[in-house]
Amino acid sequence: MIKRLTLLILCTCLPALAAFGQGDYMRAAQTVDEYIAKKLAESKIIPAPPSSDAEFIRRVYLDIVGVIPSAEEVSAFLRSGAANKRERLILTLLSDKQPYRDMYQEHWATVWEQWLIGRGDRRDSGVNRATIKSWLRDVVFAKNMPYDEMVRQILTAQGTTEESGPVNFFAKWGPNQADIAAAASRVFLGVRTSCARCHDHKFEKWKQEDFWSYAAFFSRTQGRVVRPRDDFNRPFFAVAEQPAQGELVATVDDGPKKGVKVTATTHLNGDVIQLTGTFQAREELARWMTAPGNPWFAQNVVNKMWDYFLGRGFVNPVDDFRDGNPPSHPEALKFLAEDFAANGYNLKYLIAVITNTKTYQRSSGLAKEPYTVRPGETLESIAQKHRISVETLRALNGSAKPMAGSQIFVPVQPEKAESVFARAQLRPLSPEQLFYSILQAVGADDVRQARSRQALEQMKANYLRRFITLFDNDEQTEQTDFEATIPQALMMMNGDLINSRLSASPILAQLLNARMMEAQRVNLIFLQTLSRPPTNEEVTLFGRLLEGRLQQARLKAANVPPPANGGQPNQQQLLQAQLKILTDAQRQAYEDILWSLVNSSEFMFIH
Amino acid sequence: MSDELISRKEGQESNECSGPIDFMKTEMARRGFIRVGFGGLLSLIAMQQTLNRALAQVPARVSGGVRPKSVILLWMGGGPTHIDTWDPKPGHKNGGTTRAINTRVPGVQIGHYLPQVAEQMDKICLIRSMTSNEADHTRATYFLQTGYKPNPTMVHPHIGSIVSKELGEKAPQYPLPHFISINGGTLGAGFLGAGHNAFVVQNPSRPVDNLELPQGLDDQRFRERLTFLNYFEEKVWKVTGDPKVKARYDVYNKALNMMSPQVRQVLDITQEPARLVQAYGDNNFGKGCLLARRLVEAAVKSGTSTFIEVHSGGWDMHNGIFRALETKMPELDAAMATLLRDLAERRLLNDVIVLWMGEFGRTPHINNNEGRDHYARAFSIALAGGGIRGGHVIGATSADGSEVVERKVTVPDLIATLYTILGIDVAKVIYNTLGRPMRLVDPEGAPIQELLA
Repeated sequence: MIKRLTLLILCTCLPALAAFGQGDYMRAAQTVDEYIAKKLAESKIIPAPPSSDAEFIRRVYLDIVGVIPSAEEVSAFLRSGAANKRERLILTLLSDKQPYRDMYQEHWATVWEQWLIGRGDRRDSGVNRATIKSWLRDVVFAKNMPYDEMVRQILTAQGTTEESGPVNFFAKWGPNQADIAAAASRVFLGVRTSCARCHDHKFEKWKQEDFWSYAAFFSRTQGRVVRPRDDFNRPFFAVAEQPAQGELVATVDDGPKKGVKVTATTHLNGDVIQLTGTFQAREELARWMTAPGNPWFAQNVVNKMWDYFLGRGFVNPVDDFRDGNPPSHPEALKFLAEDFAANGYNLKYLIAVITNTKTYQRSSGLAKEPYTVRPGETLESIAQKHRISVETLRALNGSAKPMAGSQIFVPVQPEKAESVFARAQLRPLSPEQLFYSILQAVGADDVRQARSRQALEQMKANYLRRFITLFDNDEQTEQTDFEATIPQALMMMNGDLINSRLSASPILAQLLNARMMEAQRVNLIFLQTLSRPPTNEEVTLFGRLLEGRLQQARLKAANVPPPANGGQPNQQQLLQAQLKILTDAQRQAYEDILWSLVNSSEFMFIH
Repeated sequence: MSDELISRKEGQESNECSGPIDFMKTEMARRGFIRVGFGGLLSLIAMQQTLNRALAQVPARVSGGVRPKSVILLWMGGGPTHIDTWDPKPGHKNGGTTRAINTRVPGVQIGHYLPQVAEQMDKICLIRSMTSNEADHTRATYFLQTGYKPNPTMVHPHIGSIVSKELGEKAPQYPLPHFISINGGTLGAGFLGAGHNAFVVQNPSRPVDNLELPQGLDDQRFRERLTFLNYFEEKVWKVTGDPKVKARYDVYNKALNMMSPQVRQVLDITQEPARLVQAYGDNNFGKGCLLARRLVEAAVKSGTSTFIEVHSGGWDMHNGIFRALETKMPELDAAMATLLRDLAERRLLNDVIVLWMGEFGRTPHINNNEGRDHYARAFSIALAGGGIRGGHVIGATSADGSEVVERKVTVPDLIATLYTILGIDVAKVIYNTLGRPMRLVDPEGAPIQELLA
């Protein structure tokens, strides 16, 4: 505690550092980078160059606070000459400064709600998404609760889903002890145990008895859906636990050994279970699960977080830790996990470590590897062979002409590059990130304000229905991560959310009313949407679009018909009508470019 | 490709037009942004041409002598009663108030609620000996719609997604999705990915959401929006070479295809004569069946297959079943009978299999609330079209309707039969993203030979 205070005083130069205790996240980031670099060198892959500042600010905003930055935030960051400005930005986003604090809490509550209980609920399940969301937002992430404490509260939760957020985990996956046990091991240990429910695992070490030894920890817990008499249609879920005496026994409920009783003797990792006297079974389980000696606990969460930030875990899929599925970078995984545990399971600290790595900060450009030119090969034939354009190949090699036997560089296939973290993956924005980012892009001021949350939540719920088709099926772990669909594309092109927001865009109104050059306006629109300034080519192209529209408008304005009553045309009225035609045309041109920007891959992916 | 198209358009129009600058014609086309590798398909011009080809009135292409076949799945959500539909038990106390009526086929009787369907019985094959052991809605729906029981190691694709993958991918230019679900959601494509999810038409009486340009947006503006978008996509593609960019681009093109007047016309049942709409029934199920026929017609004309699922809900009749049937069955009767007749009159019946089923049947025993509960041990399904033998019955249940006593048919048997009719290899093995194998049909399933004509 004293150490922490000293640190607070010493480090006012960097905001929020105190929140991380004494951990040196920069050194940890460097260590991770070294492990990644080692493997890259082994596979002779030269990673993509570092991200530009513009790429970086957009990525880190989306990843940490769930929305793109505003034009002003981008400009300020691009202008800053500070050497450690990326580190400072990360700290700011993790700090208690508003609006980042609210955005951080909201974003991570959304992420963890899905990690814990998926997206859809069975009808009448009693799951209450409001209570778990507010527990995560206003307790866990508002206080930066240590992760082990968060899991302990979930594992031991009692009461009803009306009153308690963490009870929802049990409501979602229970009440059957085998179901809830399998869910807990999958979510908190990254271990899939459900096969061992009915039979010994075919390839891995777990026997059926191991599973039931573990499931026995839920044998003292009862949960059920309660339908209040006065409010029959709003069921909730209630969980209660009876203390255990001396030992825990579970009964196999499926498979050939159905009915056999198993006494809990060893934990999944082989630790001997020692229980005496009266105890709360789930508290004992939580103690074992979160104990420093349990390697899966910390590894699972750092792997999940790494996967979240990089688009790929060290272990894939993230919930499939087992001997037959080893991590791609065992040293990095082990180091991150131990470092996380040593720093008090501090999630903000972990985020600071990951986002400060060079690995996270790479661009989405091409990684390259050496290629020896064979006799008769030309740049064209090599490009064709690798399914890339000659231009791309030239960009990697400068003006060098390929000669037989000489070495040039060819791009590494995206998937291969990503398996060694040699480039930043393109990751589609989550529906929530996209929703908030569209509002941010058009300049709607309700994005960052908590007071308009109610209205915003309603709008978000309506819109999310289009993006997420809810199936009663939560273990969609195998789905490919890129899931663009036709209804989504139709909504993005023609939907009300986009088009009504475009025509009512506060940012456009502001820009068009301000005295500024068209080029400045275009510049701000790009900063506001893609978080980068436009290229010269883009400015020129937009200029021509605008000029074309204005020419059409001028022709139209010149032919405004005289008033219908046949009287003297009122010069002022006429001028106003003409001016409106011109300003409408100008406005429409801006709406159109904004439409193209928010529909582009550059907008819809984190890159 | 569209580079060329745009240039050509420019050439054509440049003679006559010296008015205001058309931004796209001059700038974009001249600079030729669209290059090899990235089709430049976001072009309305290219799109229209593809469409005209795809929906043209050409005879179906014959590949290997087999005309592609489609499926209309009439899905009775909640679990339809078998004793009151296809397997009546008059005289037994389990039969309730349901009477048996004769059909067009001598010797085959069905429940009295279906007089119009009885007239179409020569086209229908009944299976009265379906059996399963899944009696929970969620699990049973999964089983009947995928052919596999729920299993934590794999998310199986809906049978419509398999059809979309196996048959639909042979006709990539077809402007409509190959799997469409009418009247609500359905299971997903599992590990096949969202590209093979059903396109859901929420309400057949209303235009599909977002198929039309937003109000006040004219074609020129939309085209210029797309031109800019095309430019951005091209750029990102060049920098990243990422297949995800291409995949997203393809989805946008499919969405654009669906916005065409031709597709909107196919989806619009108001094109049909009022008398026919009435005959199908002025309700969402009847209209859904009518839309299904239009969609199958479009697929047949284009020489491809499609899988159309039409939902009918409310079959979970735990209470007062006979009263509930009084309103539910006339809808089914009119829609199903009219669909079969309409398909036959248009000579489409050989090109499409109509499959009627729900997730299970209902208890023969009538409970204390005058209802029937979930029952999977014995239930019925109905099939028609697709070249199968009509007018006969496979299997039978005991006098009380509770046991299969002749020719058990399992869910994998049924799916194997369906795929065999469609020409899909039941033994083909596909792999999920983790490399786990899945046989298209569970090896336990075998096609029902006596059903295949």
